[in-house]
Amino acid sequence: MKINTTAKIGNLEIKNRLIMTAMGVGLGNHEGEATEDFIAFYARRAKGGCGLIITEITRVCEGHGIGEYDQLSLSTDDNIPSFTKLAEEIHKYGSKIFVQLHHPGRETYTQLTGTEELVSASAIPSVAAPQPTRSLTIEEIHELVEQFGDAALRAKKANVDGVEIHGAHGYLIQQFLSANDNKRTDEYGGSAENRRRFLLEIIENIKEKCGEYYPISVRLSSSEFLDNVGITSGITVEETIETAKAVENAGVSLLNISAGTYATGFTIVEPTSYEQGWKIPFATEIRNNVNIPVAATGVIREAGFANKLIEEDKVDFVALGRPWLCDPDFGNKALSGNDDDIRKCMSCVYCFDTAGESLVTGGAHAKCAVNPEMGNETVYTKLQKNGNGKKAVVVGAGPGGLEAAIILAERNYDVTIFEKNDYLGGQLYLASLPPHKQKMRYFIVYAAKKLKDYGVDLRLNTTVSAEEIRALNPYVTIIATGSEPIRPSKIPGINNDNVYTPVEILKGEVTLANQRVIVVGSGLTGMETAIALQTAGNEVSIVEMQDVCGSGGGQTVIMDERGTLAKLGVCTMPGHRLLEIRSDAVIVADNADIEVEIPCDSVVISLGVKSVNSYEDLLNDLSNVFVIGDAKCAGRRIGDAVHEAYKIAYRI
Amino acid sequence: MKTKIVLNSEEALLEPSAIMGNEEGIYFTFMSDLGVIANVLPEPLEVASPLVSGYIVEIKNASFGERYMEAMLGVYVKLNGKVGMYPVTFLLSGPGAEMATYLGREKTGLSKKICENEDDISIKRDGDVLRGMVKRKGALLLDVSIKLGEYNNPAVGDIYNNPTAGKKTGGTSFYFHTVLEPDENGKAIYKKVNLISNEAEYAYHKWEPGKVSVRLYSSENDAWGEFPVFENMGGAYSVNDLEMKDLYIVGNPDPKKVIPKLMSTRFDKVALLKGER
Ligand SMILES: Cc1cc2nc3c(=O)[nH]c(=O)nc-3n(C[C@H](O)[C@H](O)[C@H](O)COP(=O)(O)O)c2cc1C
Repeated sequence: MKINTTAKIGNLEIKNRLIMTAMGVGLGNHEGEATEDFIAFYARRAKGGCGLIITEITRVCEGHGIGEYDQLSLSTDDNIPSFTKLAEEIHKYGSKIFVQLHHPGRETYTQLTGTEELVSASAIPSVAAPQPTRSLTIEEIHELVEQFGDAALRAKKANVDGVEIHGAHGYLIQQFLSANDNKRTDEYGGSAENRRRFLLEIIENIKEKCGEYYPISVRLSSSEFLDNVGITSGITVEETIETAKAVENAGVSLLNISAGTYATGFTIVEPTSYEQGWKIPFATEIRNNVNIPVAATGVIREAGFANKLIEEDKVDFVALGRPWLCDPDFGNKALSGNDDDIRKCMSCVYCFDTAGESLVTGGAHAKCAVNPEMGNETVYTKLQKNGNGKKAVVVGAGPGGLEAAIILAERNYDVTIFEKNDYLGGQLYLASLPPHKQKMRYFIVYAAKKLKDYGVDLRLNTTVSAEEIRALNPYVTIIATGSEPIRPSKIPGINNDNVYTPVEILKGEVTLANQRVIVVGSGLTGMETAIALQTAGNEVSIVEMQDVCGSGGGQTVIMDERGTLAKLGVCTMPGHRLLEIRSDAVIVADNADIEVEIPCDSVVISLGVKSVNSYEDLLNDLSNVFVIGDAKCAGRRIGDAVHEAYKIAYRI
Repeated sequence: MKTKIVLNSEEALLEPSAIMGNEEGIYFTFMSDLGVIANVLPEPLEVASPLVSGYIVEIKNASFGERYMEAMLGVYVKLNGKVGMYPVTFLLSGPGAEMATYLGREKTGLSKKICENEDDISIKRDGDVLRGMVKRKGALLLDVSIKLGEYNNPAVGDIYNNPTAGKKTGGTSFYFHTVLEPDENGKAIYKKVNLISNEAEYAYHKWEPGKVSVRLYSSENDAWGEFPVFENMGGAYSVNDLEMKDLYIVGNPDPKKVIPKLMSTRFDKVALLKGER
């Protein structure tokens, strides 16, 4: 049995074993309708071979039930027509669709809810983003149960194939389930049975309103993994097994197993350091205790791996989130065994970060770092294949240069790409060097294959001159020469023998051991260098000029890196700027300009990067010369370079 | 004036009020790590936030003794759904330090130790900049500066309940009151622990927000550097009166589980078991 076999959820047949999990991508409108952009986004995934699509968090009530500015809503009959259109589109491709019903509880913002306080099982504010929080009254709990049922009925009226109750990720239902958050002393708190009552009443209400056979999925966190952060009262797999049995008894037809809560957000939307499939064993353990189908997420990235999960009977459905953002054709490619053609998700969390940026304000949507078409399905509608063999030159094979070369080649340009190093990927390659970061190489591997498929002329180890470029008579030239580390020349001692760059450390060109090392700068590179150095037996301190240690990545990545720094015991000093480097110490000044001497043996300067672009001025006689990525503006993320590259290559 | 050893029963009562009048100094908050904080919490306290708050103050008019300097690091916890503060460790110096330590440890259950020199805990002011330092047995443990003006991160105002001169704020704290008694072999062991809940009220005379820079270090005896500083959130220069209200026992956790989390903040290495015995 493989992913290309059909399977049932209740009486509903799904054409294959691939599920797209709920992801809030910000393509709705403030009223919560499924907009044209929204429908186009989901339809593209249905076309790409997804068996079952589950929509993002969809609110069941207004006010304290609002979780995102542009999220979907089924709190009103007014939205039924747009959901009907959504279902109709998805059904055109033989795919099925569920709507995920949700209440954020304390994990939202009063700016969104318009209420003075957020609500939860108990009056305990969020650990992640604390806001005034009160406990729900019994009457309010009863009202919410009805509202979940009403929303499900609206989904049914819109021909949506089923609903998923969001009982995971630390939102309201999980706030009731978790003894760490639920301190009620009434019938909704205390024993595990009482803590489950809210969820079971919701299931019962939906069944009453939608009928016995309307499919219900319940998303649960197998474990809150709170023991990872020293909390012992969180939900464990053993407890979730009991919850799973209880919801099975209540007539649910699918369990969709995820993990985590807000305090352990890195186990929900994992950064790149998590191994493929790491959460699956927990879902399998739950599956061994129930007789309904179980779907599970767990950083599943490769079609071969997905197939094995079904073959080895670990799960009934393979649930994937970000891989569908990265490659909408994941399904068709996976089903036909084209693993190498899949643009695989690196778990760089750019999608989650960009979704978060507009969560409260609206007006923007989530973006995938390496798939600029994601969320822009109504913008980038057709790639014109009209290059007609015209010459295109790309200088630099970092992520931006690679993307430009691929898209131009796809458009039938005759592309030559020059790279001065002996490897592809530029800084992305360096980012993949630290331990557990190898998934960052997925895009490089994918790009290398595409360049080969399209017959792009790739020149590694080549520093091309302006004259050589001119001699090729290019119709379009893309300057993607990236950036180089900043080394502030005015700092006394900056050129001392004991001063290094992160690249020297990460590439292993310099090995430090048993030393006191100061890493100056706490961007992702600085943090990773500090982790590598401390792991190698050094005593590391990070000095950071800003008040916050950790920048340059999203919250999830930063939290993950900070957790590692804390575990390893790396000393962190935000709010301190470097003044001087001596042979045995650095001198820093704090926010009040107080100077402090920190003894050390070596110093690594990780103060970010500056643009490298020696071509633009030399090529100003050529037309269609574009500078992209870090070469244009340094210190940005992979997604910024790739999106810029795509836009130019799409439009030229 | 001479005193006598034997007091009459009226005289032998401890001063019932605990007012730290006219306390003046630096308050600061920084973002640390949830895991590290959870790890230092004795059960049944549960971590409520990744923040750590602390202070270095001079307590000029204590209702129970002479003036003293005090420094503290505390974390935000929850107990049965109630959020409060758990002060992890205190250091004291100056003439009133001894009484404040005895009372704090014996009556209230606070993890207090004394620094040998009065100026081991110091606050210096230079214009709009204050710098507080805590040393013990020659080792620097805390070095915090504050530049008055604005918080590093405005969100910290809510953490402090946005104090202003003339305002009163309150809050709950939790302490572990330990009972040390000889066992049947004549060896002193902790037989009982009282988890204490206490309401306190701050009456502010001054609260001037500022940008802090927090530096923490560990020594052989005092692990103040255990909390990583991931973000300087902010703090204030403040003058206030702090009144600790009555103490209530809200639990009796298992001493075996709790004591390992308390000993290093109450005793130095020399007082703890060394080698095989
Ligand atoms: C941008 C974004 C938004 C998400 N929104 C939701 C959501 O609305 N509901 C939900 O249950 N999970 C949500 N998730 C979690 C995903 O469904 C999924 O469980 C997670 O990304 C891990 O799986 P993956 O590694 O296959 O992406 C979201 C994830 C991302 C990246």
